[in-house]
Amino acid sequence: MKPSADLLRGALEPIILEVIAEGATYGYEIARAIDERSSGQLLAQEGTLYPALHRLEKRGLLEAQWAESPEGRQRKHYKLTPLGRKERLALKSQWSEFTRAVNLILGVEHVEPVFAIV
Amino acid sequence: MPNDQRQANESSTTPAAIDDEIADHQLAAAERLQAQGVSAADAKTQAESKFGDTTAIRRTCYWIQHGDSLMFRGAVIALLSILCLGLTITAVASWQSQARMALQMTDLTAQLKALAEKPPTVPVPAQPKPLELTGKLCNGSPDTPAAGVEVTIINVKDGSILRRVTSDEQGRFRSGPLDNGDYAVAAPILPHAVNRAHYFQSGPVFVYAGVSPQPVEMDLSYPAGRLAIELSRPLPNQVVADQYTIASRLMIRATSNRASRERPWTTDLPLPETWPVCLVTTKPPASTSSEPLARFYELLSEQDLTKDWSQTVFASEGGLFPEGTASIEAAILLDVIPLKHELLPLPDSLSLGSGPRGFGGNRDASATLQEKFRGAIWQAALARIHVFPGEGPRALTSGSVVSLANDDLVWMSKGLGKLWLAHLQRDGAAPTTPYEPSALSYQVVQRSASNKAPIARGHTTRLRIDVPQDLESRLREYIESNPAADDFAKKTLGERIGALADAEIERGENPFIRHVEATVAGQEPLPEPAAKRPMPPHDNG
Repeated sequence: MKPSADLLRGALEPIILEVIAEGATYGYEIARAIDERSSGQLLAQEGTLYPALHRLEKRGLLEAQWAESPEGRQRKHYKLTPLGRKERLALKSQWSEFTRAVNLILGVEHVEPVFAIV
Repeated sequence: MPNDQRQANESSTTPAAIDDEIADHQLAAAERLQAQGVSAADAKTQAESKFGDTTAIRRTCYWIQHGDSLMFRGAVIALLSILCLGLTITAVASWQSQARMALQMTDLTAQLKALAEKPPTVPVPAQPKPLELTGKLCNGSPDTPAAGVEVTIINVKDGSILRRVTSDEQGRFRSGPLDNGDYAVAAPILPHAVNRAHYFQSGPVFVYAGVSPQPVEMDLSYPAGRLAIELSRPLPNQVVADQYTIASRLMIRATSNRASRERPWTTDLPLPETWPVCLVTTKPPASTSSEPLARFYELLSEQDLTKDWSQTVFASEGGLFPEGTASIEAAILLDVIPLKHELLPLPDSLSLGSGPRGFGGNRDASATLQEKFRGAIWQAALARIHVFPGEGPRALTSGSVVSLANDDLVWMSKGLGKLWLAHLQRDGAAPTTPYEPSALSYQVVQRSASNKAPIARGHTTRLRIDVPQDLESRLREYIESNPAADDFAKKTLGERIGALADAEIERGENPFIRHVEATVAGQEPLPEPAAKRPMPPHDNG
């Protein structure tokens, strides 16, 4: 079962930071990485990724650069800024605490968030 | 999209760039599906479907990147609209106002016409108002009027006194009738004289027919601050090889940029830096030009700085500096005292008479000194000190009683290095007679460039004196490398002190005197009331 858009909204940005930190650089590649890591559970529509990417870029957590793809198209590549690297670690920690607390209330057995599995 | 690379910061967030990014995603997804065997058309459809609402996503991305500037633009447009509306309303109101004015002008024209038709009246000439100088005096603040104060009206062309008037309860005064001329007023410093300065003299006031003179406003409280001294390390004082003691003193001179004058300022003299100026007397100037008085010298021992600070010039009544800037010149004097040498005692106090012969005021002291210190030589020494009135330690001025509780005068008179020179000349034997003293002038602290310290009213400025680390070692080296009296005498500070090459001291080559830097370490408010006795900060670190 895919999570609702509301649930996904808060989680998407740390997820994006994580997969970019692991090497994904452009939109489709990032979408693929999330899809594979979550067994297709997170991104019902891949386009929802882009507002999050642009928000992170606007906040200075990501910086973008255009380069030519092997197919000859212009492709926008993202990478973490120093601030983004710092924020990624902070968000991971916050998310872990948050999910643990929510799970305690909901009576759900604690599991590590998917982006934290290395 | 052309093949030239986009600059991320410039064009990566334009609508076209967002379209390109989305298109790249969808094409990449379609290519992957095609690679899995899906037809091109189906792959495109599936990729677009999987992507979601392209238009909405494009719009959202653009808003994220540019929403703030779009909102700002909207706000600016709204403000401009309001401004235009306001201008329109103002224009309409102005038009109405002009219409009213036109009506009033018509009325005024009619009234003027009526006046013109009346026969002219001959005006009665007004009595000329007598020329007068007015002013207000206060004590510390404008809310505290200085009432009942005698104000002296001075003609600043020649310094003559025209008359004296008294301020009223509001501190106001009027000079009474004056002729055309340049004047100033003088009034006593409140609550009492400081540094022999008894009066303030205002700046010149120009009183001429047809010109209203500017009222004189003068605060009669002395705008004083203080100086305190701290050392980077204690002054050198050590016994070396059971042969001699290296002792030292700090000699310091502070000169205010705010000159006090013996007699009133007159127009033939250079303009002072600030008004009012301090005066010793309001009497007309003498033929000789007066000299600034706000200058202090002091010769300080370690004990002065740590225990007896209140007895020094800087802590006494005379140590109040007018606000402004003080030029600081300082030097550390060193001397070598043979261990067997006994400093001869001085009387507790003596009174110095005027003139180079000295000792006029106290024959007993004179006799004692002559007896103990070979009379005439010491007289000469004291006379040499005495020819710099007002520039000696404490108050070596004509007729004043000098406290000799410490050995300042000895330091002033022995000539640095002379005791050791006498020791060498006697081949190490204890001297049976005192050496010939010679006076050390405070001129030795004079430097081509002095340090500046701000003096603020009601504040103590802390001066930090940098005591060099190599004072003792250089003196020891000089002693050890010059065992013969003739060699040692070359840099001894004796009679030749007046002619001592300034450059030798300036370059720091003389082992007996070293100019030192004084820097401002801080400034603190004086404790209430007007603290006459600030404890000196002392830093042994």
